[in-house]
Amino acid sequence: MSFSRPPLTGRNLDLGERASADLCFIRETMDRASAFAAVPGLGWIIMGGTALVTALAATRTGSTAEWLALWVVAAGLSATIGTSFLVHKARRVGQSLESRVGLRFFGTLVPPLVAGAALTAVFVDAGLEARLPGLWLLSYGVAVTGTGNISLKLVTWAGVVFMALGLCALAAPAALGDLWMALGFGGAHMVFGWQIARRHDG
Amino acid sequence: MGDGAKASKRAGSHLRRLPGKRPAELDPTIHERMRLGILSALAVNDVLDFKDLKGLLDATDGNLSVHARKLEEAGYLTTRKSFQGRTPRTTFRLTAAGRRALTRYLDHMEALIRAVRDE
Repeated sequence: MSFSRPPLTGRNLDLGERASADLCFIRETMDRASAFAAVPGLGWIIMGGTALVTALAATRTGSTAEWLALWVVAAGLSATIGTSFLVHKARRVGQSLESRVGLRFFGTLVPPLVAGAALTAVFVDAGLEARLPGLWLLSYGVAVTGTGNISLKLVTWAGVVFMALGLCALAAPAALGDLWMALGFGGAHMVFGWQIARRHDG
Repeated sequence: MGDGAKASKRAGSHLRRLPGKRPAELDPTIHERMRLGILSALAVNDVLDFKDLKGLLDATDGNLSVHARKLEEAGYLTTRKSFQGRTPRTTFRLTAAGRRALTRYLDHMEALIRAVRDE
């Protein structure tokens, strides 16, 4: 039994092109739809409040070690708050943290934070504690900006603001460190957190 | 007959004419771009709400409603209406039949590309 192959015509090529275009469309839609939507706006607001209280308390500490310990504890508390709210929101919006996009989110978020933590030890060792606010804001900003690419657009802008404040903190007199911390980890978290909560369901 | 249905018929008959190719018709329910977009977006999310889907596909309320209803009628997605506070919220979820239909459609497209390339 023999089959006659259809001639290579413009119409067949059109069908192939249409099929390719459809596959591209499906892939692009899936990529766009894979955005990690569980960034917790409410969590950010509470993290911001925590940072504001900490910044106020930090201005009253008696020593550098005490100041550092206060901020490290606040960072741990904020991380716990952020993670709890993120897990809760992910569950609510039906997004798995172990999905490809969830893993990409954490894969983007964590490395700059680890770098920031490692450099913190270097800065402390070098007696540069007064410059830590700039380092922390900058490394946190890099982490947040990166996650914005696979998350909400607002998150990218939040990251840019954190980075800008970090650069300001590094350039400004060291004595203003707590002010930049209050503006960044406090104010920016609260402003962007409120926007995320309002526009993206909590 | 709409563009989607015509293209579906053309693609189906094209495959039928090729040796060793599966004689299957393109599923006209999802061949339409908006409906294909809805299924693709739901394939990578357990649940999507109306607002997110509308923004994602750059659709109007009416357009999205019409196409989502067609997919629901075909059994490819389920719609759930609820209230969040006082705001109504509509969420969509892909069904097993919808996932199978999308997979079939992808297979079909790939077969079509291979067929045209082999000529």
